[in-house]
Amino acid sequence: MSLARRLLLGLLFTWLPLQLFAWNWRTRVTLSVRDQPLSVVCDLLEKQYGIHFSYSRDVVDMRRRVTLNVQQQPLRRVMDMLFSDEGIQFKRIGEQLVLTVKQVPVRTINGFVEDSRTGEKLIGATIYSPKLQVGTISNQYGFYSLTTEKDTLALVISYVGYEPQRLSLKDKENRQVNIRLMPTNTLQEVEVTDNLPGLQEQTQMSKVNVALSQVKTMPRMLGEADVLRSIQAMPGIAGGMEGSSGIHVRGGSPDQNLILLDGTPVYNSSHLFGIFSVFNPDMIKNVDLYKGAFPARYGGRLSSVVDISMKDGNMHSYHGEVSLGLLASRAMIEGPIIKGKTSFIITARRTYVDLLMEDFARNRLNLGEEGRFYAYFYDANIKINHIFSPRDRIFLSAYGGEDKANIGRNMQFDSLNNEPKRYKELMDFSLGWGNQAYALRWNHIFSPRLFSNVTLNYSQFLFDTRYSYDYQALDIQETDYMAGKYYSMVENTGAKMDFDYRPNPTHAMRFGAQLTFHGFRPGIASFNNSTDGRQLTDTAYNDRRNRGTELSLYMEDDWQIGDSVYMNLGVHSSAFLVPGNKYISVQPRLGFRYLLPRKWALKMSYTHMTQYIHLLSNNATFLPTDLWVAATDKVRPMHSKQVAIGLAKTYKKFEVSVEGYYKSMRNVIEYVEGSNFQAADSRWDENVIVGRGWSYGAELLLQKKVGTFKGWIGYTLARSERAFPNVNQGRVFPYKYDRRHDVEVVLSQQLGKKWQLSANWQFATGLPLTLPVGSYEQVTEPTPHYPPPTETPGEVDVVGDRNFLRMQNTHRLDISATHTKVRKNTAYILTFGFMNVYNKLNPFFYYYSRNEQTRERQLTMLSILPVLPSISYTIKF
Amino acid sequence: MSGRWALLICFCWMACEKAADIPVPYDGDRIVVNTLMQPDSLLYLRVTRSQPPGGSSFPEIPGAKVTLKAGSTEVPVEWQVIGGKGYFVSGVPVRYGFRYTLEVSAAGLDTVFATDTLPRAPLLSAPFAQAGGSRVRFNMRDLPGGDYYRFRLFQANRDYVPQKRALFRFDPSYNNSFTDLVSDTFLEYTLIDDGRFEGKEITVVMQTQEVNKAGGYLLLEVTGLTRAAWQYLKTLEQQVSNGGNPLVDPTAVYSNVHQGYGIMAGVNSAYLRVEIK
Repeated sequence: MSLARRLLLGLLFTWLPLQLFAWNWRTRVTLSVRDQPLSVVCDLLEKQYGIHFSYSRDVVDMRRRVTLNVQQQPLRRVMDMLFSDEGIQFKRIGEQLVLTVKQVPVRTINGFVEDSRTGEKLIGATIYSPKLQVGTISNQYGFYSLTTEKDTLALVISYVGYEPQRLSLKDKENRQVNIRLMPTNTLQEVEVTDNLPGLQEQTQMSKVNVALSQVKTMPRMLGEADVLRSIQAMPGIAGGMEGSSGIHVRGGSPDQNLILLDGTPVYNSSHLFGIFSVFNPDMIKNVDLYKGAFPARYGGRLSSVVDISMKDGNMHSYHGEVSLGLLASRAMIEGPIIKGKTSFIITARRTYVDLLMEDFARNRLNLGEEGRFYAYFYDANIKINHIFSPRDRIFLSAYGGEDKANIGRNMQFDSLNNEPKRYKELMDFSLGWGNQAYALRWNHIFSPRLFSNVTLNYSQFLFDTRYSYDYQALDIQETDYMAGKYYSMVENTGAKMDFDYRPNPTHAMRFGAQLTFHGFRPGIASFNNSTDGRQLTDTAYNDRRNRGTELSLYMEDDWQIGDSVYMNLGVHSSAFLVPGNKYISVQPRLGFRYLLPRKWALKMSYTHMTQYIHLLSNNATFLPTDLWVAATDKVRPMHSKQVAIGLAKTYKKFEVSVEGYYKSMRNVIEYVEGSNFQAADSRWDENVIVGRGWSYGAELLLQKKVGTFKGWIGYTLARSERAFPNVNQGRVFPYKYDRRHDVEVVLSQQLGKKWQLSANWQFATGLPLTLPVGSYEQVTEPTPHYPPPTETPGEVDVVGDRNFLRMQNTHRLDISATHTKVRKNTAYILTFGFMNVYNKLNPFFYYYSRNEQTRERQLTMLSILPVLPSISYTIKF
Repeated sequence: MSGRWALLICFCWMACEKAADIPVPYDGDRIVVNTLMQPDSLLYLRVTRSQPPGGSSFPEIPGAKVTLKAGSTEVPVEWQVIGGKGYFVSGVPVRYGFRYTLEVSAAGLDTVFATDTLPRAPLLSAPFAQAGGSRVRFNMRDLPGGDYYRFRLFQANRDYVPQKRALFRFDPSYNNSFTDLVSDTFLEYTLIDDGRFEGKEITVVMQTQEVNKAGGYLLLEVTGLTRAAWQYLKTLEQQVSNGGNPLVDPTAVYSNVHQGYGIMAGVNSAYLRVEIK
């Protein structure tokens, strides 16, 4: 071999291993990459240094992006820098670097988060590991479960209105830790913490939560704090008619709201024809309202879910609250039955205007000395909860409320219409409606990662009116006895099981099943009538009960796919069985979150909802006389699809979110002109027409939840439309709750230790309006030779297209001030304020009024809320 | 219904009214024809113009061309002024068993058409009213099939010619209006269908607002209505009673007049003479 060949071979053997075979852990590597996926970095190393990587793309996530700049660093060190923080381990096998997922030993911390003073469970508290940057939030029972690496040393637990707490974990085992947070003294400056969960950390969108402390300080109607009225001030939620506490969410109707009180549906959420909600604020712990992006665990209504949790009652000591308002008084008492184990809470509320008006009404209505007059609403709640063991707890909650009017006459008369006639009348008339809701729930912790809740519940709404009339002439033989009643009822009895499973920090799963038996009695009337001792009628009408069974299953997983990508994958499937028919629905519930630079979150959702029950109404607003009925062959279940996209971020003290949405609805119903729903007989579906609906818009919310100065600015741009074959010639028309622009500004300022000032300004474009488009003469007689009528006949108004006009825009400023004085553990709270401070006459209703002298008519606007003072006084002990 | 009014009462102390300025579109005048056809009576037809919303007086169209047919036979009509109002009056009485059709045209307005038949008359018996009392009682037999009725009561002279409309309230068993008992309301008429007594004979008691005077005479009128007459009168009643009520949508009054407004419908009244003893 020549020298030249030997040199050549030597070079080859020296160079080749260096380039192809001879890499080792000490090989010096120079690498500069910026925000590149790991797979690209490996390709570079392979190209430059001949290092072959072997891995499974299904197991090892090579999409994670890294930034690295090294000069002549040993290969092992570079590998450590690349992979150790990504949970990837590497190993040389032959000439390959095999990448696998590092198996990190984990443990699960679980338990409940509660108020340290009362034992009240806290919903939505954040449990967070700053080091690992993973966390979770407590569910609606205050339960949390967090699975982390075993070397987790500390957790930070935070909740709005409470001092954040740092929890040190000295051992490395699974543990159940019940966390007690100390409330921040609301009379002092609230400490701002950066540990509050940011909007960008939640995949859930289209959700509204109003702090109860905010509800109690907001301006009040006639001194009554009202949680639903407060929620109206959030974007996407409208109150409908002026003064109403009803909620219309993203163009939906009131019957499309699923209102849950401790998981039990409440059919009619208002007292006094919609002026006040049925929920006593003293009883409420938490309210979540979903406008879209509905979690899979909810179903049965189209437009919103309002999930209201009642307080559990103080486990450690007795407390109470008494409040006097212009319209109503409230009382609340809570305390332990067995200290630390069993607690109760009872609230009650009643209006008392009727007590003040009784004498006036007795004289005005000729009720007689023994007559009576009552007109009031009341509601009462009771809740008991008992801790059987650290793993088991039961809750029994009950709600009952009613609006009731009763008029009784017991009077002897000496004349009738100014003619002498002696007779006696006994008359009794009562009108009432109300809800009852009961729930028995059992929480059980199967394992640190699996929590369950079993619920048995019953809910009923009853509208009931009855009368009896006993007449007796005293000088001749003439007697009458009449009695009758009319009622409608809807009820449901249900059982459900919910599971909350947190296998690891990247998954939070919920699944469960529900069985509900619906019962409908839509308008039953019965009468009994006799005169002069002869039985005339004794009969009942439409005396029938309809039933339906609803079965639903759901599953959802809040899944962290990558560092910046999160999804909420869910499905809600349900079946509704009525005699002769069954309906099945599979409803996807999908949420998506992507973390953008500067901590903005891009969120998207796509959800389907199905509603199997309809509300028959031919009113301009939701009334207790409306009738609930089950879907039929002609009027099938309602379906909606909603897609939403938005950006959200929490920055220091502020939350900002902007969302756009589009919702389509099928099988929505509208009454046929001239129909009357006093009773829904077997042919009720001939009196409604079935159509479609669309709602779309954008919502902006800028909110400050912490500090002495709190509040929000909300703006809604929305459109809500309907189309029915026989309405407005089948054209698309604005729905009655359609408002184009809605601006809400809610502000509150704590002044020192005693004063809190609040203001609420709102502007909204006018609601759609239907007005006559012409008028003409009427006829009621076949000939002109009849005696003239007692009143001059009016005109016939031509009712044109529905909702083709607009009311005037509305705006209003409400203010209130709250003064709190604390003495010996007792707080004395005086709240006073004014609604509509600058006395803006906003439209409530339009109609043609008549000048009785000239008989001419004029379009007239009726306003109902001038400047209106309110005052209430509360003692808390 | 009573609940809605209760709410209105609650609000009335705070309510405030003012003239509104909302431009409401009006699509021009139309011919309005109004007639309720009673068998064995002449047909009295009002022909007027519709007016913009809020109108309260309606010009007559005496020069309108009116074509009235009973079946295929044309019935002559002539313009008459009765009690200060102009009517087209048929030359012969309306006869049971015919379908009547009407065509009315006038210069500058769309020609309108309407048609209806005549219903059967109610079967009434056993009237009773006693002096010093405030009740009128009678029996009514309902025939099988859907029927619609209007009840009225008149104070009459010795020849039972109606002199004055009597106000009364009807048995709530049939019309649900038990709130009339509470509010002490008396009405001029009551409209009911036979849904609660289909094919049966019923005894009806009407409570009168005034005391029955000995030697007085009452005329009870129960009118059978065609479906068109029922829909018109019922929706008219609803529009009037709901007027000014913010809680309900305005009711559209039924019309069977094509290209125009109004009603042409058959009615058939039966009468009971009630002598107060």
